Amino acid sequence: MRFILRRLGFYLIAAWASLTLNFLLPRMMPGDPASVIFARAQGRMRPEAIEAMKQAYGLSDDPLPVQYWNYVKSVFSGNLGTSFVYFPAPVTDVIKTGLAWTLLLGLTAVILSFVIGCVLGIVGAWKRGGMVDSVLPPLLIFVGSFPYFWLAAVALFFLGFKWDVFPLRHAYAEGLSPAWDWEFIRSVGSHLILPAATIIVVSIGGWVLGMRNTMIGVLAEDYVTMAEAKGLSQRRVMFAYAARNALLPNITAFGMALGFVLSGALITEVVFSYPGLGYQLLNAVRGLDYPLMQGLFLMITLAVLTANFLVDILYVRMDPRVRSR
Amino acid sequence: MLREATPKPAAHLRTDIEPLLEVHNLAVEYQAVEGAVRAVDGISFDIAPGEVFGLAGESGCGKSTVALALLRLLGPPAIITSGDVHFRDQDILAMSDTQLEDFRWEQISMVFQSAMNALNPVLSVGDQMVDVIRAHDPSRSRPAARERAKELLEIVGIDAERIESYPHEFSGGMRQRAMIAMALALDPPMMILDEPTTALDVVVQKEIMQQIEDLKTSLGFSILFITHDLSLLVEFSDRIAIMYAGQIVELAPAAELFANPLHPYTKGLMTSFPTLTGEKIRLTGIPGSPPDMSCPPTGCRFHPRCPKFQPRHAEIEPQLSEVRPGHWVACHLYS
Amino acid sequence: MIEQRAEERPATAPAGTIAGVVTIPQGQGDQIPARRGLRAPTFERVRPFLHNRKAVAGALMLLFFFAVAILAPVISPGDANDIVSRRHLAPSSEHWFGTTGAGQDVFDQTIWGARQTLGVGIMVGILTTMLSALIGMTAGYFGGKIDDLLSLITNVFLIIPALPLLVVLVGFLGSGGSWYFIAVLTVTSWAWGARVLRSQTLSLREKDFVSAAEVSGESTFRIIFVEIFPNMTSLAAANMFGTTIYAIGALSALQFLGLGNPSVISWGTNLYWAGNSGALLTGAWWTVIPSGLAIALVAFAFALINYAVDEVTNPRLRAQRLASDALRKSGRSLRKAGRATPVVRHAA
Repeated sequence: MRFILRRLGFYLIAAWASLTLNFLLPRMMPGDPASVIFARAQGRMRPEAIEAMKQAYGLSDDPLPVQYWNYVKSVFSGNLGTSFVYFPAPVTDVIKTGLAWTLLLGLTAVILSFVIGCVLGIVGAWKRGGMVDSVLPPLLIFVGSFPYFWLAAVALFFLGFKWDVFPLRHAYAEGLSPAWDWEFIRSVGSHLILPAATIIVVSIGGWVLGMRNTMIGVLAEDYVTMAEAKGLSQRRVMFAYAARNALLPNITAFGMALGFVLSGALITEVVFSYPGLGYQLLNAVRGLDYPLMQGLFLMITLAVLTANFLVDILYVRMDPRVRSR
Repeated sequence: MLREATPKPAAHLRTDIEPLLEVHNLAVEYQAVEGAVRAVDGISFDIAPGEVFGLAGESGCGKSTVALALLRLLGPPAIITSGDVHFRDQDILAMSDTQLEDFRWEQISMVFQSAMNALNPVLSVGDQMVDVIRAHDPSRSRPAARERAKELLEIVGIDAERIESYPHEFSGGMRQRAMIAMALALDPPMMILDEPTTALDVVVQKEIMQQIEDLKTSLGFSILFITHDLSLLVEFSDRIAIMYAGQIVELAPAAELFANPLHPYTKGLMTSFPTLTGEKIRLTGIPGSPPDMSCPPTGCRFHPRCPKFQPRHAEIEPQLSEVRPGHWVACHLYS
Repeated sequence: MIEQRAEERPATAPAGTIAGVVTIPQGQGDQIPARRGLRAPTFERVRPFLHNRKAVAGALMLLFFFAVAILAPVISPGDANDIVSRRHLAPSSEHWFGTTGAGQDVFDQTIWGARQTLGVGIMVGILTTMLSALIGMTAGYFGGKIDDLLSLITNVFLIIPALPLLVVLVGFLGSGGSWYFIAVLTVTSWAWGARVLRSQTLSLREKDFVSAAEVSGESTFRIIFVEIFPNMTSLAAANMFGTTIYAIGALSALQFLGLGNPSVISWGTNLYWAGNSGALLTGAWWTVIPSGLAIALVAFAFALINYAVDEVTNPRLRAQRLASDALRKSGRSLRKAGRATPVVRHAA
């Protein structure tokens, strides 16, 4: 329990840090933020938008701490400002849809990658020197070296464009409106496959190797020897005695890698024009939509922190030694 | 390169009793980059039903390797390169994985040195006991197996409610008792105890040893007792074998060994621990250190550390010979 | 237990990633024992790896790319931005990799692209490692409140996702030249190395030679840099390489997204222009493959070396290999032998 509380405390500090960073970003721009933004926007922004933006930033002549306090207050009341690019939609509305799609893509890809990767790693380590263990790792290392965006582009080109196996862009077919009907779900599914597969292919190698390495370490432990001495079936020893212990460091690694894999997912979204947070972020940068950029950054960071926290809870459930601390 | 095992006459194996376990000329090698290291070099001994057989020696002499080899539990880079191991009429070295699964724990069970390391940290102690019970008798239901597990805990003096506890929630002594309980789960005719009390403090040691003794008296299993602490063996065993550098150098009934240690190494071991009663003796250790098994000394392997060394001891390997009734020793001083 | 428990070797790159690979701390610490003063001769440490095919292959690949970067003016003289032919020509004997959407030679651009990409990568690797070492060793050596504070900062930097931060930074601060990116990348990637070097410092701190140095009154500065650091050089070097690869990937991603400096020739910007000129729609795959493959191969080379290092230093993998070799000599395979100790008798 204390473990969870300590982790929660840490995440709160990290959240506060990113909130503060968000506050500082527009004020780090060379020159006075308001005029810089205005100059950059150059006629692309209507006066109402400029005013709204000033409000959103708390850009006023108040001293910095006051501005900071105002900013924090508005964030906590759910007001992240108004988007420039999607004016007059509030940032929170824009982010909501982006979040949903990123969660769909990200969770699908990351969970599949982790689960399949771990299973392969377990099997590879158990069957000493088998095919899974000798052929797969170097192959996965190679594929795992591909930049996400490059593999996405190549996959999109061959499987989407040239051979027309998968759709080229977006989360569902144009012309369909979101509804809980079979046609929509199928369209979502077919649009999900390629981006998710890209992420899985690049990230799975890390899990396979990580799991294999911890398994090899665990297989030399006394409790595995004793389990075999007890005449337990190989399956039982492999899963309940070896894998369950080998999994623990990998769960920790899973948490640490989440941010990294999420970044890969965001880039993949861009290539596939998949309307998640990454796609929105790039559009926001291109359109100099500062409130949206800030909102997205905050959302992405919060997502990573939340995911990490959930992983911590999972870890506590799986390792009884941590529970009693 | 796999080197040859030096053939040794196993004359000290007894022919009068039907042994439970018969080990003949067992050799185990560990593969290393520079060549194979022979950790166990031609060991032979037998254990009768209901007998307590002690195996003593310094760390690194190969005694734990022997224990694990008997059940074929050694992982890479270990390979068994010679010998026969028979339990009743079963040839352990010829068994397949499946046959071993049935054989292990049912016929021979084992108590490991460190219970903290030998128990799965993520499963409750009860679950681990139920595992072994149901693995060998799938027809038994979970509740029935749990009942049996509770019984076993009570036998060793642990509250049956602790069945839900995890290994890290036990104290050192309790953990070791739980291990003993687990070893009894299938009522095996033989048990291997590999340094069962080394990791415990002296007071707890005594309790555990008493526990083991009581259980042995009531249940009648034989024991292969492995330790570096000769004093424990002398109290508890029927016969004792002294191991040095992968070989048995002396073998005798416990009382006889205590009264008349013959091999200089055995004498060194005897004088290494103080006794509470009896004459005051000068405590001497054994000078030098255990040999490097990748390149053991020629002739008698103990010769670099032996106070009675003669040049020809370094040339010829001594063989085990019966110097007194039932008392075997491999030493040039007695041949 | 029969086998010795090996010391943990801290992972040298972010977990769960391949560009850096081998995620979980594994294998043995430095094979050559830590000692006072300068470390053991380099050759002694390097020798086991020279026999390993993967390590050699990886090292050769890295050398190849660095050579290409250095020799760019020799291999592809002239300005690679020159328009030399018609647009989107397929690969031919005249233009090995074809031409871009603007009529430039893809081969030349790929060769020259190595310079900025690798250059920025290495600089980031060096600077990051210096910063990581400073923070990590300070935290590890002094412990207590200093460690608590530095670790907190490190962990916060570690958990905030780097790429979105980079994107937002560039979005607000605008783009810039190579040094701008070096600075920005360093700021976002020092945290991992700091963690790794801190934990290594913690374990080295307990060793006797450090206590001896402290007792004999050596200055703290000397202890950290002359006694402790030389024993971490292999870890720091591995960390440097890992960060270099990571920086190459992150830089290329930013450039691909259009956030880099589009007039610079580098692998990332090559891919950006390829995407921008509709390479996918016109089917001009030759504009996309070379630069991306180059990035992949550089990352792969490093991953191979890392994998090989683990194979060589991990005692359990070594044990498996030795047993497998021995069995094969008697015509058996370790895989088929099952899990029980194999019995291989030879003639008396």
